[in-house]
Amino acid sequence: MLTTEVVIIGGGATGAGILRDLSMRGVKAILIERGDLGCGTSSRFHGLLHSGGRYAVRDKNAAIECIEENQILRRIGKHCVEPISSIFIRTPEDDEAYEGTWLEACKEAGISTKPLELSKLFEMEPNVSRKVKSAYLCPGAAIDGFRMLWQIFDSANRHGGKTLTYTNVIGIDSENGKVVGVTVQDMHSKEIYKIACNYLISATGPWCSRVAQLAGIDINVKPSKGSLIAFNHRICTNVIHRLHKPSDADIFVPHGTVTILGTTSIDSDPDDNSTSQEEVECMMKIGEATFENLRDYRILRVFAGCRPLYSAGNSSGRNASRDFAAIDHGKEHGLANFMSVCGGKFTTHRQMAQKVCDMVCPVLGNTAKCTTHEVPLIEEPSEQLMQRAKAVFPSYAAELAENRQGAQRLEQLVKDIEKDNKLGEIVCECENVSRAEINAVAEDSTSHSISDIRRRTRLGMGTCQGTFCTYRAVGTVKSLKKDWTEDTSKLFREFLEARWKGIRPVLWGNQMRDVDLTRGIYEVSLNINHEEKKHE
Amino acid sequence: MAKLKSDNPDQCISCNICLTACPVARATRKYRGPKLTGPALTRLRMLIEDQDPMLQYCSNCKNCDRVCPSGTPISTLNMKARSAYYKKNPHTLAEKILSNNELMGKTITSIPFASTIANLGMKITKAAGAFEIVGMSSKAPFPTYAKKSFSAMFKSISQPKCDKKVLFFPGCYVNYNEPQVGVDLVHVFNHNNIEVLIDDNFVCCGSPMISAGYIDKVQHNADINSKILASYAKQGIDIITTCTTCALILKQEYDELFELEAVKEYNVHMYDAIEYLLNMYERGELKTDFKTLNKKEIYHTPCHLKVQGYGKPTLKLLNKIPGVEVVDADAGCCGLSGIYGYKTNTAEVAAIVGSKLQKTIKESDAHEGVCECNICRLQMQNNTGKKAYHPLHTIRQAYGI
Amino acid sequence: MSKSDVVVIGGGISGLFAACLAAKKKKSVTLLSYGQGALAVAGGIIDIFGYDQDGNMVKDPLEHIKTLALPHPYAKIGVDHVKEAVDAFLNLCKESNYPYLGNIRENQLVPTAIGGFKPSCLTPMSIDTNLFKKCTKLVVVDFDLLKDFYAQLIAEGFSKTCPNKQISTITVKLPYETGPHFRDVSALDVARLLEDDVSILNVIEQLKSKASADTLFIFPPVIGETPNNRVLNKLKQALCGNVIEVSAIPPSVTGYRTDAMLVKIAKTLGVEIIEKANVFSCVKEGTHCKKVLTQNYSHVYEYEADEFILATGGIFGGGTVAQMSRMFEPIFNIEIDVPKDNQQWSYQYLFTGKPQPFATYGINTDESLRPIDSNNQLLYDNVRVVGRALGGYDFCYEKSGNGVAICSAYHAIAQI
Repeated sequence: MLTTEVVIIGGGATGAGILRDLSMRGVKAILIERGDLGCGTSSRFHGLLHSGGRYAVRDKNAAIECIEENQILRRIGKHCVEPISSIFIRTPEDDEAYEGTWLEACKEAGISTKPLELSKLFEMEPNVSRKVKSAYLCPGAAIDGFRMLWQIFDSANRHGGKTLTYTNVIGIDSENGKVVGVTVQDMHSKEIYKIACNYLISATGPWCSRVAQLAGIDINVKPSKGSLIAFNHRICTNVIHRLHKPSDADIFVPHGTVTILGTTSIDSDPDDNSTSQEEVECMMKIGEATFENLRDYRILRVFAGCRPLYSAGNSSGRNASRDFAAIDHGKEHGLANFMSVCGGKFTTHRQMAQKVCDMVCPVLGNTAKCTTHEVPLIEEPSEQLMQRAKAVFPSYAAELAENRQGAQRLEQLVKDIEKDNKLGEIVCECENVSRAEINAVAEDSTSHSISDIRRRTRLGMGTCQGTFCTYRAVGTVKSLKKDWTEDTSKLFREFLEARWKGIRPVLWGNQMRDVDLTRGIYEVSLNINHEEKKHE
Repeated sequence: MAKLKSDNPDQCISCNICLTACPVARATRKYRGPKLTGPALTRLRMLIEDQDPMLQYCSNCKNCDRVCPSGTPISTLNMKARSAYYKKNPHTLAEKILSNNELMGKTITSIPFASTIANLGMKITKAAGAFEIVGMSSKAPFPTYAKKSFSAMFKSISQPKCDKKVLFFPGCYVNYNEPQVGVDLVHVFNHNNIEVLIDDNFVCCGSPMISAGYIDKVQHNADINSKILASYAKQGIDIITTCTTCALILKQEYDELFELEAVKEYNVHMYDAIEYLLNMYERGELKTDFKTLNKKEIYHTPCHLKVQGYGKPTLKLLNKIPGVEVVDADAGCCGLSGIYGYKTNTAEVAAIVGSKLQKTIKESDAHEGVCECNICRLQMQNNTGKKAYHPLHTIRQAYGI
Repeated sequence: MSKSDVVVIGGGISGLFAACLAAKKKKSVTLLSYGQGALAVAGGIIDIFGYDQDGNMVKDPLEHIKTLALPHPYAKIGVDHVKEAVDAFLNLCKESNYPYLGNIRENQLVPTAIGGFKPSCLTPMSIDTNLFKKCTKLVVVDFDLLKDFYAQLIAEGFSKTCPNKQISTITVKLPYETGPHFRDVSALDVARLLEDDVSILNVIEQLKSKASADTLFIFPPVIGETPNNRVLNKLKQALCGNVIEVSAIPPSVTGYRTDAMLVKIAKTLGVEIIEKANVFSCVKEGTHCKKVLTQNYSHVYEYEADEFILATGGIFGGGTVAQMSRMFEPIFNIEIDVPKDNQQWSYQYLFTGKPQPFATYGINTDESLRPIDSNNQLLYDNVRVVGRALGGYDFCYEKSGNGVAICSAYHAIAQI
């Protein structure tokens, strides 16, 4: 039986932050995730590093937390943050009176708001609607959720933190009103085993109610679904917010090679990440106030995530607090050494983790101070390494690989390609992912499917949405001879169906042409619907 | 469908058809190919800055645009990226020299005997290896300079007064290297009761500068030319070109690169000379008092004509002349593609690309080559033992004027 | 303005084949193409009918076609014309010295790039499926540095689909330069290299020790870029005749060759091909189309004809355009009847073992392939729709794409 001090359930931003914080304070911890790391809410948002401006009027505390954490994450997570700005624009549809209130509130929260002349705005953002009335520059930015999670886990692992993915918690074990461990099941081998611990933290966001139920505890977490639209290219160079009371579809984030428009807010089941045609149409309509030519831009796909909104009362959706809640089940429900953490935002996950650890550590007799805000998540690559990388990667690929994989892994990738040139081939031509990168991630023990590789490389996340790279990725991983690469048909289907899921609600225009091409390749030329039939 | 801005790569669905049609990609693996260099990397260029030396290998021949089923402005994406590249990287000396074609032409053709000296000088410097030093290929077929510019020759032609008038945009090559094409045009049009006008304020269309990555400089030329063209078009005067590249730049690229409003005012009035004559023929307006010529010609279609979507008027029109048999060379791109074929680093590629055309011309039993594009004609004459003419030459011959 | 007997809009397989057939009937033909057709993307093999509605492989495509009901295009074309179309295609290829194998009465099993098979009917000489039946040993030929071919994946696939055969792989090394300053190697690069006499000897040299009467070399689609089988014959000569190409991902060299062959035939027959001809509208009198209009940078060109063939393809080719809740044909402005709710256009999974609804959306026609509206009223009396723009079938599921293309082209021209 595994033994540790703390078990954390949930491999999202909150759990990752807690694991890193505990590990850096010297507390032994294991994090358990039922799927792949970051496959829930933490990667299903628009990738906005808030400046706090959005919350300034309604929730001053949240706004202050945002601006503080914004500065910290820009520092410790350089590779995950695109240091751009947020531009708040007021369109003719937005209440003029709100502008003054908002400016005042930002000032109070310490968020800088620099007025932007319209001519300057159109020069910076040529695609923005010419009807805009006023604009302000704020310190918001774009943040890559997947990448930051990975780097937090890497950092935590370096400090002794452990993670078990594809591991589902099926029971919470307690003795004398105290949690003593959990019973888990390996999702692949189906093996069931126990992990003993002194403290259990459920950082499962919208799934918090379900996990608490395992211990017979009722808590009121309302999952609220937010849908997002990914466009094929960067239609803006900065984050564009509407200057009005926070509402649906009023933020555009240039995120890597794409632009993300979000979001909606609908009460839902935490496992529901579907998006309807109505939601898309509704978001497009609103989005047109920001970009008049929005419908000329190609939609790549849609996706949705569930926010975990906790309320002691009954408010839901945008009215519920975006603040986080740490529920000490010992105090509230009589089961000691068990805490549920939910609510909050990606931007403030580190601070939440710090507050949680400040509460948990004294129980464990640990008095170390939090240092997560001081230590960068990963090391900077040396100039020499970058030069070596540029000598082996094709143009634009070296920097991307470094950003995605970090200096340490990059060094290995460079060595791999130096040894075998063939590994420098570009498997995903839309996002410039090399064969070396696919190989390295596929070799990682946490990879069990092409989708797992995607989350760490952006494979298949560009224009063609896997049309070409699925075949190459499957061909590449087949030669590694892992357990999970045995079933060829499953490898193809898993990835292509996952891509299809995001395309299906927006099946028109150029994306439909791409689906036609995808079917032409995989169904007509490769016959993957029937390939298992015997020849003789 | 809404008109897409040319820095928008959204039309591309990565089908890779362009790669199969790219003559440069066929000749060398040093070029990544149109899809990757154009639309795919455009998305990445919006995200990160990097040096992409492969950009220099696009010859801007536009075969990618021709075969793209999605209407993606691939070559323009490439040219825009190249221009951005040169904002951070120095131009080669060859690019500086070659993109200055207009100034060179103007200077040399305005001084008596200067062209003879320049042509001779070119031979000597070539022989002395000076071309390689500045990064120009000594093997490429350089044009020679004319003794007198077209505008000077034009003034000495006395044209009949006609009701119908057209404006001729001669372009640098006709002006300074082969004014005979312009002279032929004037005679052929006059024969059909059309007076030809020229405007001394025209400047170079800018094609060599676009290829060399000086897009910003071209904007100046575009402003001047588009205003002049629009002023004639407003009077209902049609505009004639003989150079297919000039035509493409004026009709299309000024709009794609700079979104000039004036382009829409005049491009409806723009015609290639042969296209114009064929249209007249089809309306029954062209004089058909052709003499029998008894010759076989081999026709090469310039890439920049193919992409304009009006077929091959020369092939149709010349075959109407008694005794003339014109065959289609159908041998791909000439390779030179403006200054591309003259810079050392790409001349090698250009030579491979153009070899199929050269071989086809050489092995053909035709007496001479015929082609609208000036630069293509240089390649058609390069080591093939055959002369190549603009189709107007044959038409004028047939009219016996 | 030019005037011809027939204007064909679209330069894919259906348009090219229709143009060739019309030209053979001594018609003057103008072919307007915008972008190269999908042949260079799809393979050059001619699927006629592969799977029935229950997912069972069809043994005899012709017999199965007899059972099809409207609105399937084959039901409009009729068995006789299907048969004649296939004969006409085979003859055309033969005359062009690039003959096709197979017949309409049986499906062949074409090997794929994942080590499986797909049923198809007519194949170029480079895909002679009889060799698969004959040989007991398979050697998957990997070209070092060729990006889109995975010998191990393929060998493993065949070890499951052909358990009684002995399977191995071999890697051929080619003198390709590598590194970040070189483009990755594609099948077309290798195909072009093999056209070179020295390079092919190099390849043969590396393979010939494995050659035997019952050893089949399984190649990526790289056996030459020109439709003349010159490269194929050389390889066959050196390797006991046992060489076969697989069906793989684009760019498809097999399709590229077929495309080149059809373009060559069309040109030889006097078809005038206008490239980059962006047809955007038509001029009609009542239900009679007078001419179609193309547009290129504000210039409008007119093409008059007695008969028009619409061969612009489906969604991929741009022959039909999909918007949220709407699908239409953009040149003749034909609305296509589709559900308002996009969710009904498709199933939850992309690969379901069923035809996808959206794939069957297309132009509705009468039995002579002229477009009709939802009340069965004739929209145009001299426009005939061929190929992918037709509604009523899912070519991916059925494996019938190129088959419907050539048969509908034949059916349309037969009436002109």
